[in-house]
Amino acid sequence: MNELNRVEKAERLSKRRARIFAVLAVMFLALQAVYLSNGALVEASRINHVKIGAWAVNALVLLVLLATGGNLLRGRDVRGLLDDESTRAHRRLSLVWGFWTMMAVAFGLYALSLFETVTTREVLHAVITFGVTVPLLVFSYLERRAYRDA
Amino acid sequence: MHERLNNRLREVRTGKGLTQADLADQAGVSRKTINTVENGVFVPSTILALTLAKVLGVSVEDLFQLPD
Repeated sequence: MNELNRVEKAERLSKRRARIFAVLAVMFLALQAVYLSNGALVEASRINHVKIGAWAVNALVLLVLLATGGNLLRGRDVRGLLDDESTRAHRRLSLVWGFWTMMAVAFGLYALSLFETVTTREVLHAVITFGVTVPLLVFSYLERRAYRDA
Repeated sequence: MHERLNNRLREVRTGKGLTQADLADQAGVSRKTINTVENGVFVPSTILALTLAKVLGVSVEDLFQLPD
């Protein structure tokens, strides 16, 4: 592959990845309204089990995307550019944001549990949802910011 | 500019007639990384700093300095 095409291709894929991560995060977060509105977290039924299972698979896929950066089927040279040191730094920072967000959500729900009944499932669902969504959004923001003034 | 590091990367790069993409390709990193280093947003690793200096044919100290 022409050497400059490799850099340009990686840049195109990187920008697309940043956009997609933001969209996936917002969609994942928005879907939680479905679970909350129809009692999927508290009512035990076959359909709710399927919904929660789908949520769990969705969350796992998003975590794999975040951990790997996606684009696993690309050539090694392009993948190397897509996962270079600034990208790895952005990923680390986004995971730190995710950790602190999860702590905040956990502590918030702990406080809420003093006044309202909060099930284990609801707590775990909220912690994991924000633990997935926030790193994706932060990573997307950092990646897009990196191209400013280019 | 990063509060802990001054850099002349953009100045040296343009002096050599290279684009960010050229330098990125020769250094084996993305153009995004070159851009963030030049803007002082990202502090490069030792390996990347040495690589950039080698590619540009200058010393690391010509590219990066500690603020006074």
